[in-house]
Amino acid sequence: METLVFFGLAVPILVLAVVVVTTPHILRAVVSLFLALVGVAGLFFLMRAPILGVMQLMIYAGGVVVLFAFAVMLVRRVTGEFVRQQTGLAGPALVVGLLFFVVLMGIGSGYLAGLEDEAAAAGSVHPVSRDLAERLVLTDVPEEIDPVEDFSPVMIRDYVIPFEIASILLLVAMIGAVLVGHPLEQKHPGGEIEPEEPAEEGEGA
Amino acid sequence: MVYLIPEFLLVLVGAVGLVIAFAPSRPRLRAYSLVGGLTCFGGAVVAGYLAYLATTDLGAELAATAPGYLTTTLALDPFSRVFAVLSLIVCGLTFLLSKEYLETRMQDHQPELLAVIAFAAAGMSFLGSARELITIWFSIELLSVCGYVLAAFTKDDERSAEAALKYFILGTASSAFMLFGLSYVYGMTGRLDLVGIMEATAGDGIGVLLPTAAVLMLVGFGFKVAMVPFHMWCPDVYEGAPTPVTAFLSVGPKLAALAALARVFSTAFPHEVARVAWEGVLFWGALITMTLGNVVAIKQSNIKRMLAYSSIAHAGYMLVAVLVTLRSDLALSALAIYAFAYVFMNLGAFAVVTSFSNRTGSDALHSYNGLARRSPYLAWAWAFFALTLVGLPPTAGFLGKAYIIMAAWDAGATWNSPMFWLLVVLVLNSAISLAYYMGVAGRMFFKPPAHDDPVPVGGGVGTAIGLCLAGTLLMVLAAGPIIGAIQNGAVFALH
Repeated sequence: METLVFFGLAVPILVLAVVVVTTPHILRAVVSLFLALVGVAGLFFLMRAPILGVMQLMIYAGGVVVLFAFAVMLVRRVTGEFVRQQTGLAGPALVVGLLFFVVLMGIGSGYLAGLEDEAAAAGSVHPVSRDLAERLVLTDVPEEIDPVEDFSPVMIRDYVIPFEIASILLLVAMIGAVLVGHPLEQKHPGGEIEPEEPAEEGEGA
Repeated sequence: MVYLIPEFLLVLVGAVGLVIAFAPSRPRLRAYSLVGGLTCFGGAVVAGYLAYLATTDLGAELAATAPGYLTTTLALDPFSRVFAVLSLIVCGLTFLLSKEYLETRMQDHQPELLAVIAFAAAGMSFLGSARELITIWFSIELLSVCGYVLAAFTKDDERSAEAALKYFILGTASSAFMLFGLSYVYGMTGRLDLVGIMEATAGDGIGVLLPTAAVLMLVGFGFKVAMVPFHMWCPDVYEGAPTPVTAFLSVGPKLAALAALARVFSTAFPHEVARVAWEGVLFWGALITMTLGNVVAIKQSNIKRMLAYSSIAHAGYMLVAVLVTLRSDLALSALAIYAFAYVFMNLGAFAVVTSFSNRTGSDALHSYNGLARRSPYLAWAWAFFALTLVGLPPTAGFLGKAYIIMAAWDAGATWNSPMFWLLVVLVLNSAISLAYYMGVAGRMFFKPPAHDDPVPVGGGVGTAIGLCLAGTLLMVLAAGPIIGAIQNGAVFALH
């Protein structure tokens, strides 16, 4: 049943992801991205990580993509405009991407097969998970984990420093967004000293 | 808590800058760059004391009683505090050398630029001490995002905007690779802390997935360090960004990423399969990085591009120290000493470039002709920094290179071993670098200037040059005590 749901989600996600990068229609790309991200949220729920699922829905599907849609519709008056990549590197990119995928799949599935063999040799009933649990040194993990209740203390107690670093990061990102997005006030040639500068300097001193 | 004073100071300096940005004025900017710079130097002294403290019994006691949120995420060892000292010095020097540039070359948003530099320095300090994957990830991202913002500051300049965009796209791609590697490591071991990862991968049968993950992480670090083949962004960004920003980018992210690289790979992946993979990649990476950097630097006609390739070459030298972290006790000391020398000599060289371009608006090599007659201070300072960057004997650069070679020798570089030939390449590269550093000095002293107008040196940047000179000289004078301290035992044991 789980396998069925997994493929029911995974196949559409992949198809939609391909649509995102191939369609020349920008709004269609945004909608496909939205649906793909909702699908990923579904995968998180399937893996019993509801916090991640909710975050994914709220931040990516709810926030980021809606912002994309707004940007597309507000900035370009003609939303029907077609956007095409012009680098002509689609072919090489495809080859490199496929190669990367094949190599990682090969290595990853080899790793999992190795785990299963080991588990079978040890006479385990539930091969992968038991062995993984052993390997993960998860002996001290409690039986019942409440993902919601156990999440917050870890985030804002044990990992408060990365949490705070993230807040500085967001602050800097915001400064950057304002600076880059702010329209240029006056046109002046870059890399040249402004003629009126020396006078201003005297005034400052 | 005491351990975090350096980071607190840097964030505080940045926050003050943001407040000033609401109502910027020339006197306020001047006061901010001076007071901010001085605060950083003061903080560096405190951080230096903390580094010393961490080597004593009292420090060990303090570390043992430190609250859990500190010990799970940050390593409270001397190595981490030494990089905090370095972050504060870098921030302070950048503040001083930016002042004149901000006043003469930028119309607005000057306090924001300094504030972002301070935040980046905080990220640098965090990255140098992070001991688990989440903190490593967030610090490296903080550093990167600050880098993107800084590179985009002069967005009205087309070349600068293009460089910033290139930096952003390539940087996010490399971050994605790194995150991929991190997620594999976590998926395989279920551990976030580096020591835990090491413990969980101790047995055999971990297969080739772990080395793959390690190499993916190396892509992310390699980009920040500008290790070949992930150096493409480096010359364009260094040329396009405002010169003080270039100065910061050439030391800050690079050194912090090298420190994290040394800590992560020697702590988390000391076991056979993964170790062979990352040591192999680093060996060739170091070899090609230093050679390519030096060879391409010779042909440059823009001094910022030349220094960009030179900084790639220096990253190559420091990668040798990272490469031998598991084999030699001297490696981390060598990395730290080289890092200090590199901060002073590279920021010094960039301070000369900043000071010159503030007045002349040019970064072309030929405009440096006859500078000795137009500004003896700049010309002599360059000559000194050039000698240091080459690593000729009585300079701090020599001290750094000598220590890297000693560490590699200590790691078992016997006659005709690969490590031996790596060292031969390192020495040959230093000889090559003589050509372009001294080429510029030669222009300054022996070529006739286009005209005889003097090039005045601004107060802030002049002070920065002076401090860099003092720093390199002090390192040479203190060589005895430094060597003594290192030989007194493993000062830089990672905790």
